[in-house]
Amino acid sequence: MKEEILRIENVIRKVNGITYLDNINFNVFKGEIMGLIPLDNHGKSQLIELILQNVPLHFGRVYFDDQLVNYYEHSSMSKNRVSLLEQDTNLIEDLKVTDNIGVLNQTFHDFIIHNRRLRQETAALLKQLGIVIEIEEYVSELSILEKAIIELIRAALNGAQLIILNELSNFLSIDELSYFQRLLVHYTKQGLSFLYIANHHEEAFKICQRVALFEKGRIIKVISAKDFSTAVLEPYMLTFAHPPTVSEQNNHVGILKCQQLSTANLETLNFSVKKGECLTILDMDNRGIQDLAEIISGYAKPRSGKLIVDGRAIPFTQKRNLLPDGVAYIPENPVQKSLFFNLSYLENLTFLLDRKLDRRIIGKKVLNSIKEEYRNLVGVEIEAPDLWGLEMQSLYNLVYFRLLLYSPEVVFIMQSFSQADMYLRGRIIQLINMFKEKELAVVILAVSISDTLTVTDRLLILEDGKLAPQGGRINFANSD
Amino acid sequence: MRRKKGFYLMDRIFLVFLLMVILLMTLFFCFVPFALKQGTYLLVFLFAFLLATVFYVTYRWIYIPYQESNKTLRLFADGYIFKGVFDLRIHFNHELFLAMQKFREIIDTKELIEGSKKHAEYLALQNQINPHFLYNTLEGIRSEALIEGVEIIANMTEALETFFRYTISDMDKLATLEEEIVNVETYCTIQRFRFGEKIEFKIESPEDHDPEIFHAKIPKLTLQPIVENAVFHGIEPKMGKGLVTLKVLATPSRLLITVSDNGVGMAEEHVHRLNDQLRGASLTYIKKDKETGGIALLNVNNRIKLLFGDEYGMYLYSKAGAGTDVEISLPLIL
Repeated sequence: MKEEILRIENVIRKVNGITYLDNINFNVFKGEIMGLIPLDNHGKSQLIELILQNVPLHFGRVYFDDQLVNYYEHSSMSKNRVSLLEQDTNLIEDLKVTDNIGVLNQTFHDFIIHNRRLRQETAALLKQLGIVIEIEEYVSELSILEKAIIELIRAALNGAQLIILNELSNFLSIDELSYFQRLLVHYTKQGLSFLYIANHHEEAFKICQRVALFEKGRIIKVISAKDFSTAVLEPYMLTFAHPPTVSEQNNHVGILKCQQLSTANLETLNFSVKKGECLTILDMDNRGIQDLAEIISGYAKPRSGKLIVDGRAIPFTQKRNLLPDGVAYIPENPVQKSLFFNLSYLENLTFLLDRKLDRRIIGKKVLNSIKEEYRNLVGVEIEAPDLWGLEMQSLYNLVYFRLLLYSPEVVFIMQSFSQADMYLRGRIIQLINMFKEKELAVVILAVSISDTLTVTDRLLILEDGKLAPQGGRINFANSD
Repeated sequence: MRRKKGFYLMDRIFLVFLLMVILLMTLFFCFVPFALKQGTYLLVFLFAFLLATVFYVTYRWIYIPYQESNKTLRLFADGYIFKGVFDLRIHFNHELFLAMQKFREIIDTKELIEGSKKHAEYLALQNQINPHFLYNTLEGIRSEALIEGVEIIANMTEALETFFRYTISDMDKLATLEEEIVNVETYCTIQRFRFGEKIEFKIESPEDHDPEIFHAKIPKLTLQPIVENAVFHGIEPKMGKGLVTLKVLATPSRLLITVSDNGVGMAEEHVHRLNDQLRGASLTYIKKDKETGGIALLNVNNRIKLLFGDEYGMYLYSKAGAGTDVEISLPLIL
């Protein structure tokens, strides 16, 4: 007989008059990895909040460990024994691993911290789990995978009965994810349950016993493991067709050449990308692409090697942004990182124009001409006095259109589909294809392959800071 | 909506509270200057503390329970809950509490269930046909068919007789899950005479399930109307072979049965509307035209909610072209 850890029954949750959860029904069993695929992000954070804490409901009931903990009449605001694991760590970065595991948990009640005992207990625990992490290390020094592992261990020690895993593949590479999933399976055998939120069914199907599809604040389908197949999902998912194979007709020479580039985590990296081509660099251990991103955005410089753009080698005498050299960078989650919400749409759109035109003041004529040109693409949004009321798709449009207006030679995109729901992913694919049509070279830096395959022409696999041998290269332009 | 003449109870509490605040304020303006004049702040702090306590207690003991009870009554009025209205966390007063309990007794749940049942076709049959006459006739047809060597008619008649014997009898009692499944299988056998191999019926349960769950008690004729719904609205309009799957799963407190079909499914808005209706117990659907569909689901859902409470019932997952899953949640009664 299966025991239910979480049961959400007919829950309607409204915040400021907006219905975020609309008659939602689902449950998680003890020792189960339950998948949740949000087709759109509407209501996702409200659902997570509801599971973590017994917040007021418009209607419905929430049972935790078979006890009614929250219902329409009375919401106690108490917290459930649930932990959330996501990209932003909840660990204290300035404390050591032992302190985070041993001291910062609810089972620790001593008045005096016995360091030796803590070290022994932590070492024994990690050994038992077969994990090799330096326990005296500060959390800030750990890799992303190590932080996730420590957070998982701490949650289990804290007595969490359910752990919400929010889009692991956004911050763990394929190898890291596979390792972490083995750890999840280990904990399920001990009765711990997981709500595994993933944007891709391929990822969820590998590890989950059941998967629920979530759209418009409703659970629209629950699929059991034996029914897992792409065919079952077809009526629910958008299909992103692969664009016409660009490289077949592309006779351009490499607009960007990376020669013998070395950093702390990269070893003599060599690649080139042509105009109108999309290249994906898939990093199996999530370190090399971070170095590459830092170089392009001007936070670091390489130890050695060259980046040649349109025949000109970029001088790395000091750390600097490569935008004036024709290399643009779109960070992960670019809306939060690169837009100015209090500025108007047009001001955001023309933000880089002064550098492009090498003028401090942009004339009204130019601005009006841009406005009219982009009105055809974005409609009345071009008149928006600020960005606060705009939809996520419009904000992504703005990020990409801004670069389109600047027209660099090469665009590096970090984790292009990170935290994007299905509809937004569809739009990002269109935007990248638009870059390609405008003859921009695109380099996607990714830790998970997922939707990048729908836009990429070539894939390079980075392992231990080195490009994998020829077997690791797949030319999608020539493959069907 | 009609309003009672005069003040409601909580209006009176509010007025009394307002009066108390005015009194306290008066006291404050007379008493505090006097205390300050005397040069002692202790009494001022004490006064402030008492005032804060009065506010806090009023908020926690009067205002929040009042809001919660109001919300429950509003949900009852809007059709979200039915029995929940009798279980208010804090009642308005003792007399109202007693009145609610009496009200619960007066409302005969059985009568409502009867009202719900009357709508179903099987009850109409029960009212119009003498069951023994029907069984004897069917038995007669079966005997004649066997004598004539037409086995298919004999089998069909036997299945129909078994189905009616189960359906038109003692509706009030609970049946075991096993009996319900046998009835669904008989129903599918009858349908196969019509649809041939177009319909397949399958039962699934977890590998580690307790065989006892098939002896769990559920309301009679819970499954067959849902399977019938799946056949007529899901599989019949579909091209090709149809599959109806019954998945059974038990937790220590609940029995979860899912009836899935791979039929034509439903439009998103229809699913949403049906799920809204399935959320509460209501008899309003009886007045609706049969053509609007989903009545069998609402009927079964109503019986479950009236028998076991608002927290049990049904939920629908469906999409056009993707089939339909009906999830039934019942208390586990062994």
